[in-house]
Amino acid sequence: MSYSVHWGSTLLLASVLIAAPALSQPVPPEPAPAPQPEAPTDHPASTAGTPSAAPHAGTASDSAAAPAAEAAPTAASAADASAGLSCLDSKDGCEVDDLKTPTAPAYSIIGVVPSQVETPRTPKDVAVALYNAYNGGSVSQNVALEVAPFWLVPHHDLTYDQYVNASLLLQLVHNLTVSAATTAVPAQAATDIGFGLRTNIFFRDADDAQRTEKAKAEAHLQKLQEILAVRQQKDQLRCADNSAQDPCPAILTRLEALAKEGEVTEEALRDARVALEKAIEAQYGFRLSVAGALAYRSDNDNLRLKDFLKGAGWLNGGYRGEIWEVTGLVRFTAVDAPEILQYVDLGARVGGFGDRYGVYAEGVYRVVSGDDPPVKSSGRLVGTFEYKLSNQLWLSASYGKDNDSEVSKGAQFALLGVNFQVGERQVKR
Amino acid sequence: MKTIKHTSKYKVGSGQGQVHLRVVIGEGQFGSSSVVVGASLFPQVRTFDENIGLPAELNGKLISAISVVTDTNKQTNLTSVTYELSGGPQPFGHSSEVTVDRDGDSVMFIAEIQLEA
Repeated sequence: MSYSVHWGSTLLLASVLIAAPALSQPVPPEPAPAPQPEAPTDHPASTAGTPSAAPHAGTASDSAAAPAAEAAPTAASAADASAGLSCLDSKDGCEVDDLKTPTAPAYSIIGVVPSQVETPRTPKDVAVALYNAYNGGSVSQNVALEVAPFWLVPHHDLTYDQYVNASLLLQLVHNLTVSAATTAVPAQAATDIGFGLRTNIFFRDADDAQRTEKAKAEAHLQKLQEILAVRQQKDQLRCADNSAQDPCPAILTRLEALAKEGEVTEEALRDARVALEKAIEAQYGFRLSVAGALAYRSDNDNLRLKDFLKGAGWLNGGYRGEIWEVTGLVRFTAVDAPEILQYVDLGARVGGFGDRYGVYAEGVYRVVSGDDPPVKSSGRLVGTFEYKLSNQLWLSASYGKDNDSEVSKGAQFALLGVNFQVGERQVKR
Repeated sequence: MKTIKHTSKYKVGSGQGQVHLRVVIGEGQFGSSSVVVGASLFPQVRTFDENIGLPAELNGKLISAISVVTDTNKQTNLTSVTYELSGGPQPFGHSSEVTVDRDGDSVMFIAEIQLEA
């Protein structure tokens, strides 16, 4: 439940709103990008159990004890797909979160929220996906494709340490994704086609405690792996519990030393992996993400990118420290139909955080140019204070000025709210 | 847990230089390897990159390399281990790979390489 009081320069309006908790809570925080951030992660790849042999002098044989994984389409995040240009025509203008780099810019540029996204993991899968999308010269409808080019081929020499400590240039390559999407325009017997690119980098600035936490998580996961490996060595070499035959005594001694780590189960391995992931994501640092997208219209029966509709570019940068965070965002949008318009949205957010409170200020300024723009350039500025009364109860207060609309100047506003929600919520970051 | 097994032979020859073994866990995934050469157990490491002895000492011995790899890389579910041997008449290289079914799964790679003169 949210109680809100609004007032303008000449008008005092009090209202009581009953809102679903999800509507009254701020947008969840973007996780601190690890060196391997925001990528399609829930998509089993389409090839598996295919050992590959490099040239060698000996004779070799491989046997995979498990069957190949099957490719499966995965539901896209609606929030991710609709982010980006959703506020372009809104009379309320854009908020800072609207300017965030979308995960798949191709979907954003044509305004689709695909229920299934194809994520081919090999060059062959890409070829099949493109062939299916091309559909013999016409354009398939509701295509949603996302590819991470670097990961289309194996990287047998890329170790964990090289990957998590990759240079900025390599991060750009590792994190690059290419997306494409289509959607029908029935009234014109046409199809809108979007293409997008996105990548990001992270300048890590971890403190000693965070580095120690990461090293501890790595050491724990490695110990669990070692128990499994050494236990397998024991079985492999048929070491009895009291065997004096080398290397059995060393193996048994090592297993005894590792026993204090506890029983190794699939769950324990997963927990250790999650702990490592969290330790990496918790690290402070500066993140930068960049994306671009283009949208064209084509006839349904003849693939031809004949009409340019829109182009957009995003640049987001931010630093997260222990108790503060700063984010800057730029989005450029060029619209070619029905009128030629250019929007440049500039956004910034500065915040300070504690265990029970968050205080932040954010502003967005839009510069509009082109043929007879429907609105003038204007901005929105708001300051917010949140205080955690209990795990489910939050007090929030905001004060700011809205952007101008087509019919009025932006009004000042103030909001005082008590938000109740089921489940624990963290301070907004 | 999936298990991938590889077996092969490697000719160490009769040279005077050290035979070198590398066991590399690829795809940016987190893993570590336990290596036994003959009667010696080497400490568990993420990348094994060691001289394992002279050809004359290694003739007839077995290399047993067991690697456990956990899918920590959000960009791919592919896991791989590459084995490289040098110091014999010809270098040796082999990569085993498998894709985990679910994010975060672990895989055990087992390699047995018989060393011959």
